[in-house]
Amino acid sequence: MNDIILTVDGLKTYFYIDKHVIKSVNGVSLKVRRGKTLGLVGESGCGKTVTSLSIMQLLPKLAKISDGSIIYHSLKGDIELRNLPRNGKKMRSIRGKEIAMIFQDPMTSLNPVYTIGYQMMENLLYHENIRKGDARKKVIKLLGELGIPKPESRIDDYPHQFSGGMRQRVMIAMAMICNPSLLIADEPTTALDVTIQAQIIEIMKQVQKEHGTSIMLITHNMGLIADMADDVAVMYMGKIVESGTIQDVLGNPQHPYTRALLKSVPVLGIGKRRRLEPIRGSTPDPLNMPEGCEFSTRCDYVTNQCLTEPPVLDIGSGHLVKCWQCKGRCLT
Amino acid sequence: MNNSKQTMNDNRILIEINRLKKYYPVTRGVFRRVVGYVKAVDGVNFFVRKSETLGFVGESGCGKTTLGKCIVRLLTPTEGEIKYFHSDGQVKDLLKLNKEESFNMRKKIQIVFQDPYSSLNPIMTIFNSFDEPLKIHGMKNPGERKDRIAQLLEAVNLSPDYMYRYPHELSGGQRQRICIARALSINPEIIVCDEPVSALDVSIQAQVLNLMKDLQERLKLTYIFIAHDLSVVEYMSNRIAVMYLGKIVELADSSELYNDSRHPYTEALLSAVPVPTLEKKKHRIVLKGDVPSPENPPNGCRFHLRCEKRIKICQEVEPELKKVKGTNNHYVACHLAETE
Repeated sequence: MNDIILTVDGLKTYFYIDKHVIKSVNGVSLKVRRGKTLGLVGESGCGKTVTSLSIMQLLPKLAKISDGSIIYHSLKGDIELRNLPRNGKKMRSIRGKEIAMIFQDPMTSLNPVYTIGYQMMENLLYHENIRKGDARKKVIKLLGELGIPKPESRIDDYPHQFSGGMRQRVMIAMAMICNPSLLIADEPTTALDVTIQAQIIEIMKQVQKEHGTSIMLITHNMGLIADMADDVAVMYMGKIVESGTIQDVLGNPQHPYTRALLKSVPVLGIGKRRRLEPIRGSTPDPLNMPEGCEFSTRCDYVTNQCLTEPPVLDIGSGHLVKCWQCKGRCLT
Repeated sequence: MNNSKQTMNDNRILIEINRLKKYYPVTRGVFRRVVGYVKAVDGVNFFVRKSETLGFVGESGCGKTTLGKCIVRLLTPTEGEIKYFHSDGQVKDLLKLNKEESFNMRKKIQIVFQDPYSSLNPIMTIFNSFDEPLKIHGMKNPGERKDRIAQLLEAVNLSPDYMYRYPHELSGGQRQRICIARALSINPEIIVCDEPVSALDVSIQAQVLNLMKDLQERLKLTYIFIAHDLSVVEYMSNRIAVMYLGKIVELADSSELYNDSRHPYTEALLSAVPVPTLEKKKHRIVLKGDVPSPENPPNGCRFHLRCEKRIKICQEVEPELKKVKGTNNHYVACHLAETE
């Protein structure tokens, strides 16, 4: 059995607005290993969410995938998701059942006029040949497992009767109910408090352990990545600038952006002993991107070479860096 | 002699808050009958020294923003006193001032809000946003005002040309710097920073945090820094107060709070923060359940429902904020801690 569950290769998703083209995702390649967690990290606007929506075929109409491939290695063989009609039978049978997604904001991604139970059962009844009564039992069991007190009465509540953390747990339960092979979690804890975030992390880890689910975790929080991910991909302006295992990327960061990102966040316990080193400037305008390397306008190590697009270099056992500076120094 | 007096004066207490309470009425029915109160801030005591940063952390709904707004008096507290110590030794309770005194005191305490997108008026240029407070607070000469605005923008590393722009022409980080400059415009002593970086991108946060630290050093500012992110608060503050359901549960120097926390809630909060390092983490304490409603807080210790170490007394008697034995300024509100 292939130990990779999802391969994205050279993905380009462009938005066509008026006469402009916004290159949200501009050549992203990544792999998610079976049963492992891939962390996709980057600032807002770098294309993390568009990448996940491209995989799920949930892009808005303005956006088009113009190049690249998205291959889902299912148990029954490889499926090229890009070739499937987005609302076709095949895609619908994969979306929600084999690949499920948790969205960022639990407040807006639940329908306020249906009960929690109805919304959760919908998925199950669509994908599986199951009777309503059994579906209800399954939902109650899952809600209980995810730590919702008195699930047999809470199942008939509406989303507004749940707190933020409980709603996010419902979102996880909803995504997990058909036991998907791949779970895409887009900023699952950003809207939540730290103590609730800790609960959600524990639940996701537990779910992964019990069902062997592969997770693609999208976040801007390096701490969360360190906590959950096995592999990391750092994204900047539509491109992956560095990727590798968590030990490679956090222990031995090579791209100037990854290093700068790690130095610019305060770390609990170190506090005032280290002054933060901010990244200068701000992210470039997507309509007016710098030539060559996207990070060149903010990079401390910029040279003339950076005006041409840097190559992706393998600096050792799958640790990939997209930077001119790594040449010679670490390229094997 | 003179020297020691100087240092004493620099460390003097600037503002003292006693038994501060803010209750919001909950109304029901056509006649808006009051059926209860949301006790957003419920009896808080602390003081702030000159040129220090006192950080406030807690989860959403614990009352930190309400507290900040009470200090700037955007909200009128239900009860309590806010004592302000003037440099000449005079003490004023900010809640018992007449109109003129109140006007003058507003210059001393300013606020920077969380969301730089909604705290600048979109139809006013940056110049106008700055001009108004300066005019109101007595800078009559227009040329002087303009110079002052240019100087303020330079203080936050922005070019003075920005004063003729509208807020929508600026990025989030630039807007937050504008908000900081605006708060500085009338030379306040204290700035209440209510989640000043939580709406900003990670790479921009550091710029704003460092700017605030530099300004504090240069202008001898006093910050009351409110945030939900413990690592940000730890980076900024000299002392940290942890709030839970409208009360301070622990108050200590920031390094002491991290290394030697005494309250079970602080411990859980510290262990819940994910840290971007590869080192093996401490055991994470996962709290069960959610924060109870502040409308109907539990009897006894407010944290006891989620506390793993609770004993019988926790359900009956509410612990008071007391000094921890053998420490200088470490306060905790817990029955299990050894207090004086």
